[in-house]
Amino acid sequence: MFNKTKNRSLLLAGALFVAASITACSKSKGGDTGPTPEGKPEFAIHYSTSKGSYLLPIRDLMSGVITPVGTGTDVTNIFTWGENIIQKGKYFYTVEPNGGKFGKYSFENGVLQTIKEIPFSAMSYLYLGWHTWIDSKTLMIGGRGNSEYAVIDVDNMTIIKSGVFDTGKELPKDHTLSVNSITPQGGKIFMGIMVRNSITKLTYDTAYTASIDYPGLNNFKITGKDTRSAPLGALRNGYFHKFNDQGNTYVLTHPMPMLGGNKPNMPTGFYRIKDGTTVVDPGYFFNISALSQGDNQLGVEYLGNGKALLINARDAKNVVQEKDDWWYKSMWEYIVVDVHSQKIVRKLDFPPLLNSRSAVVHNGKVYIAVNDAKADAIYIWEYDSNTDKLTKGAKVEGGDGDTPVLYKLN
Amino acid sequence: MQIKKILLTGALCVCIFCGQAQKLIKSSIKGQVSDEQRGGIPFATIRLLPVNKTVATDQQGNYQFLDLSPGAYTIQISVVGFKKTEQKIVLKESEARALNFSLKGSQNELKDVAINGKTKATKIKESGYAVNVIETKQYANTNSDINQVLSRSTGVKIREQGGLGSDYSFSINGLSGNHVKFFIDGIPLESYGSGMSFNNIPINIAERIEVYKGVVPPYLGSDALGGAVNIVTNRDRGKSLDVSYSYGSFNTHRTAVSGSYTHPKSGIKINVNSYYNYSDNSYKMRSYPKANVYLQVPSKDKSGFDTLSSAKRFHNDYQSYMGQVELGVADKKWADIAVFGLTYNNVKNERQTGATQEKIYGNVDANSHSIVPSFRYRKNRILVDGLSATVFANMSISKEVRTDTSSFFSYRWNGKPDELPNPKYPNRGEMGNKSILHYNNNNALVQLNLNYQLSEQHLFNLNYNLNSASREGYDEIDPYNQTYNKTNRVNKTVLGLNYQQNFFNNKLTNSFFGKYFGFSGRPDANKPTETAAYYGYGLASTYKITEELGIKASYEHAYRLPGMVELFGNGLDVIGNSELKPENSDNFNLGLFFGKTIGKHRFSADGSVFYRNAKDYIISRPYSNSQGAYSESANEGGIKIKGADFELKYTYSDLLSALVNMSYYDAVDRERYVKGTNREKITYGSRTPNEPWLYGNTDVSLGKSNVFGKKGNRLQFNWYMQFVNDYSLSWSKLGDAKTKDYIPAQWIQNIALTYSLNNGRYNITGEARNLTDQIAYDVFKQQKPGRAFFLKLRYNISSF
Repeated sequence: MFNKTKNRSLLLAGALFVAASITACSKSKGGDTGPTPEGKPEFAIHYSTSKGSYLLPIRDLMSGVITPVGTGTDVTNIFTWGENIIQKGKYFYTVEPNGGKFGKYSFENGVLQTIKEIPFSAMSYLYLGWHTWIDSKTLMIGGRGNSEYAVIDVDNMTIIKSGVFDTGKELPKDHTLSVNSITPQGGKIFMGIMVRNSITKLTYDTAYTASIDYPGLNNFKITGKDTRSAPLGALRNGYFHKFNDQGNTYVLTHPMPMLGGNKPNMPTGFYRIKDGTTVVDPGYFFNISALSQGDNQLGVEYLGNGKALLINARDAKNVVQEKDDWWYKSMWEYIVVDVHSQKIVRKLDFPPLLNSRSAVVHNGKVYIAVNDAKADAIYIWEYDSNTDKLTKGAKVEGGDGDTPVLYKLN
Repeated sequence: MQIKKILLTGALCVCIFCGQAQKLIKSSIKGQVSDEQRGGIPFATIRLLPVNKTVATDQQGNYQFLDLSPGAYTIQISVVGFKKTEQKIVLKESEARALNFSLKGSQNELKDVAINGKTKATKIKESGYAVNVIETKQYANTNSDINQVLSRSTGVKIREQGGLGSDYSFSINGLSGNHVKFFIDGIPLESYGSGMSFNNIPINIAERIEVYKGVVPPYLGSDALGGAVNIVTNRDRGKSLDVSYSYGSFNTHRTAVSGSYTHPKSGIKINVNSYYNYSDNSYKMRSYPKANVYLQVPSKDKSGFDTLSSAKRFHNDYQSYMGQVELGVADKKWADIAVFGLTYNNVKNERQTGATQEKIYGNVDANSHSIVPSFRYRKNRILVDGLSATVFANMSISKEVRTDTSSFFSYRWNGKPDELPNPKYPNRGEMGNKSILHYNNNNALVQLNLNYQLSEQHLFNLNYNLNSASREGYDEIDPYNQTYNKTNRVNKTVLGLNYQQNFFNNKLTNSFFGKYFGFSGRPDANKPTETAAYYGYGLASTYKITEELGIKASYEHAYRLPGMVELFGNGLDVIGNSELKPENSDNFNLGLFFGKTIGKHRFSADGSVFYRNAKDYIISRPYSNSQGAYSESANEGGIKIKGADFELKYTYSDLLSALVNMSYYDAVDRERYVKGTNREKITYGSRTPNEPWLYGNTDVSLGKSNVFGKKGNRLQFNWYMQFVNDYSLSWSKLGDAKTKDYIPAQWIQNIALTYSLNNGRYNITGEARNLTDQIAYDVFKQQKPGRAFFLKLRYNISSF
């Protein structure tokens, strides 16, 4: 508005985020994916524009044109809040905040069918911060920036349990927690949490971890405090942030401004949690920022064998001048990291990209939506990590600011 | 600095005009034409012989002839219904003669004679601007508010969220919401504080409404992107009183009182305007499969949903009242009008739904009140002939409180909450955390309008507005929460200069204007003030090809500066964006007008085409952070709009009047490339969704005077129908058409029957709205009221 320079501090105040047109970048990768049956692969793509969103099947990831013009299901009034979408196989789930509904839908042969919708007011704030699958039919979800949860049997579509995590005397009075990441560990649940002082309104930089009994969801215990990075996990539902490999769960931290926890001075990295434990491995922290000139990253997809695909905000400290630059500045790079060797093993050979965090893995290959500002469209690229080969695939028409999100349906 | 420069330039211009005028000073005649009973007679024709100059009286019956040479003249006064009068006078050099005429009623009342004098409305319509002028007289007996009358007009679409007092979005030729500015008697409505709104001002307060489409004359001193609406109230009449009361469906009560009195000897003057509105707004909501609308309530075991076929709105009471008193003097040497005023208004509003009717509230309330002292001054001749000035100043002090403190939440259409108070969530309200949000808004406005008539051919107008607004917000429950505790200030200067020329006996009229917008703002008390300046310009021309047929064209490069809430947020559900740029638009209009009278038949036709190219368009988009979901304003590439509308009107004497109009526009996404790329956007060139793009109205009145064998009474029947074509809620080209949501086409019909007695002094009206009980929707598929009945009593006199 004004001729004078913008105020950066105002820009960064609060973890601001542009939703709707952009939130649909989120994807149900934040939780455990669980077992997937073998068979003919089927994929889908979700477009979201500022005035409507559309879900359509993909016939072929590697050739032709994928376009929402005249095809696909208009899901504008079903998935009203992109970040609330949870996908598992052919099923889509969502919490609809306006109507107070939790819904289950199946997407087969290009048709989205309502399986069931149930009244949902189990949480006070119906914008999700995380979800996790306890087992193949038990979904646990929680609110963003708070400690409310609900456990849902998605086969019978019943709410098994809901409430607020009872912290007992583990936290000082006037302190609240918000949950960033949840990992079932046998009869316990391991949590990455953020602790906030409600008097000073400040959130501690310390990465707190805690455990709670399952299924009782009681006996809350703080299991550790770690200052090597920001709290474990993402702030928003649908951001890929953890995977299990060789008896360990690796959880990514998200200190990135705007899209993450807004702790720009802290490094992005993986913590490690050994199976069955509820503490971070004190001897392990994979500091990715230290290997990338201090840049922060966001999670994209797990590739297998301890390798994960991340997207790196290259030199965001200098490149980002205003809020929208997080989406519209060509600064993003896809990188592959290895949690075993603790190295960035590959920077995929693309020019600096616009914000894009969309990929699916099939048969050991990853299919990535690549949003290159200079290309004539977004394209799907196949990356084979065994041969280190990149192959250009289908053209994706549309995608404005947000990159359409790919889903694997079986 | 810029402001000073402009001011100096403006002042200089005025001085030059004055200087010129000094040289040209000649004799003049002015006065008033009045009726023995009713005071000033508007639109009387005054002819001056032998120079053969003709003028018409204004609303108050005033007229004037300037630049006359000394000599002998004959003045002829003619007006329908009165005897023709004439008077001979001799004018001396530099004499300013005052000459009043009091007319007597004609013996043979010329009831059915065609009226050749042009009304003010016709005159405004025949200016170069694309303007609708609605004379509200014909609606005065109906239960309508300003919005309902305006929605019958071409190019105008008002989309309401519900019943009386509900939030609405006003659209002129496809530019809507904040892109349109509102005025009362040329004063920006926003300067009256929060409670004054077109959804509660009864029609009786207004005399005339002007809708300027795309191109706004500078005398309305404000920044408007898509057009402006100006309500001209019926104040400053010599003596008048209008009292009305109506009662109807949903326990709706509406009262309006307006009156004016000037003591003839002392010139002391009093104007009163007031209204009171109340409604339960408890109309029926319906499930409507055709529109994919289902009123879902939890089944008994809460394992799923049952669908209700209908349900009454249960938390939607609305009450508003306003009182305005003006006291001062009239017809003094130093002032035609000088009055002090005081306005108070108060609104209590229960919130039933969020942005869509899926989100239902059961206990959220919003209340506001404001008090507005004001001063108004008008002088028709200052220092020299032809120079007139109006000055207006006011200060509004508004307080708004929004309360969300109930522990019950997640309401459904059966009126029941899903959740009872739960000790686990002590802070949970219906909209987020419990809150009592206070907003204190102060707004000060100074407006100066100077008109200078250099000669019959050349007219200058200078308008200067200085507006300063500040707001402070806090949450009573959480007073230390800085999210809500914001103090900020915005100052806005608008300077407009207009030059109008009339040639070939007023056949050709051109207006050229420039506007300066100065802006300074401060996000909060600790931040420095920042400034910006912008320049707009435009022109309007009209040419009368024949007496009946004319063509007009206008253009404006228009600006709208972001408002305070857009820049700094409301601390509630809107997050501020201090990076906003002002939006601008190039607006073009081309129109034809035709009017012909043959005997008792009068036919008129208006048609226009338009084009808008709006850039840096400010839109509202969803936005979330860890605290909640909000909206914020952002600049977008904008839209291009092309469209057309027409209106045909036929009247036969005072027996029949029929009107039909149709409006069409095609608003498309004009942003060609995805931001940061040279890739074409998939929605580029596509029609913007969720907006009605084809709509029309028919309005037929049948009336007869002197019915039932009595004189001075009248029976009038009105049938009104509104049509809105179906439209898509999301981009219509994206997704399979079978899976898309549409708002079905709507045909809404209203009828009204009025019986008037004693020449319109007593009136009684019965009215049925949405007679066929259609399920009608508006913004985001919000259902509007179904069939409703109203009865209105009105007492109206123009003299006591």
